[in-house]
Amino acid sequence: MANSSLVIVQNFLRQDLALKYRRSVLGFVWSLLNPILMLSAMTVAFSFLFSRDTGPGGFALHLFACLLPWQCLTACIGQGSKALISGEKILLQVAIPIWIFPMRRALFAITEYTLSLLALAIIVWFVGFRPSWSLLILPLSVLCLFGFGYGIAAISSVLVVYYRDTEHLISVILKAWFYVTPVLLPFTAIPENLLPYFKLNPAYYLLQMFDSPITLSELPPVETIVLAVVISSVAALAGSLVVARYKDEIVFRL
Amino acid sequence: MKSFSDSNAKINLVDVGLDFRSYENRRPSLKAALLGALKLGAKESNAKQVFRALDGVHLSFSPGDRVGIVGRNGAGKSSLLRVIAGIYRPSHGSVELEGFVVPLFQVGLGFQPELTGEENVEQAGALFGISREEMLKRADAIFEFAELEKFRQTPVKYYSRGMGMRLAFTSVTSIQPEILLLDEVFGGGDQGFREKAVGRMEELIERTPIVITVSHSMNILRRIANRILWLEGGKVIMDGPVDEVIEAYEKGFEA
Repeated sequence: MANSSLVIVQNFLRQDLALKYRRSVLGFVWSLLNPILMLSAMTVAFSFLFSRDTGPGGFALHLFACLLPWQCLTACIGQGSKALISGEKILLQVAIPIWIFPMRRALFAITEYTLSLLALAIIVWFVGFRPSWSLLILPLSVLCLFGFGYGIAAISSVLVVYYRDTEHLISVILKAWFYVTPVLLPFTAIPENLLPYFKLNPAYYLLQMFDSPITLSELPPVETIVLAVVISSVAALAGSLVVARYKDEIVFRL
Repeated sequence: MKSFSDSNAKINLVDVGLDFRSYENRRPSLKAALLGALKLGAKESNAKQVFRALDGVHLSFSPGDRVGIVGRNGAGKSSLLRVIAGIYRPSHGSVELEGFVVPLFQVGLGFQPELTGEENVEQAGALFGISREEMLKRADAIFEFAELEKFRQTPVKYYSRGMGMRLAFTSVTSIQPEILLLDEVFGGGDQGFREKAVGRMEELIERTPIVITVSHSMNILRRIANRILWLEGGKVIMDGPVDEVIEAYEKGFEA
């Protein structure tokens, strides 16, 4: 059974990627151009605001470090929340574990992130990026992002089956969440008196796991590493528990 | 008929009951639920009705069984198949099952319109745990039988309804189950294809240790079944030889 779940997940992932890159003529090139163009535009627009407060890499590096994982996170949650209702036909036809559906979305988002990260690494060389040993923490950062993304995707996918309006609520929450997370705002530019509030946000730690090694060429604070691991483990565990609790009921509610 | 002495396939249903809860409010909203909890808004009615789809079902199936299920609409036939397929978990009792199950129901396989025919064939296999390599080996034969060789790399959204049904039917029937569950599916597509499909289905049934078929067509059941179950109101009314049960069932209609 575990083996056949793996076959299904692989298949879904391969097809999601094939679909994404087939839809446009430029294919994979477009999926690189898209973040590059967006990062360039945002860098021009916002670097005036934050020019004094960024690390040695400047605002462009910070954006690169934080915007891509943020988009990955919102894709996990936004797409993940629809995962079960869009799998209705399959769930009524074959007995397959429901966790596969949010897992598919989370894996897809993470794969996309990793691909664009590797390709963009070449480009950011030109905005002053120099690799350092601290980059070796990035696999852990990605793992934390994935664990958190899957956990929240699993919970919201189940919630959306029971309360369909949650889908819209989630997109609103994601928008609001963006503004209280240091995605645009450099970590170093967070006002001292507001810092404790920023630190209530789990995304703060998840993003700092990317920002410190990429923007500042240093390891994230120990507090951040520990909390990022804890937060993502708790989210993944909570997601798994919710899935385990509702796995037999979902099919009656679709 | 082939003997299935080498097959370990078996199904045991012990006192199986299945409750459907139908909720008065089909689209509950989180907003209303939260406001209700905070006593700020009118509480949404969450009344539910319990409908017993299956009730005290004791059955066992072993290799060589070709079972037909008859009964009126709503008798619990499809629910029984879904319980056996593991899609519905029974509310009471237990299901003990050994063997690789392939259900063939009418809902379709969730073919993805954007994906090509070949990719959808891969997906159909993957849903049953069959690897891509294995499914690609079968793909030539699948597309030939479905008469869709020219459309193998065409996205399924450009297929006609008949073409899609042909491909779905042929993909799933290329998988050899130990337990085959059929719900009113006996071939698909247009008239010419249907004859081919019936032949393919009969061959598949021939090779499969346990076959359970829901059908309203007594002709089909007389041809393929060696045991008939008659369900009424979620209960097994009769379980026995084909002619005996069908005769009783049809009399029940006249009365």
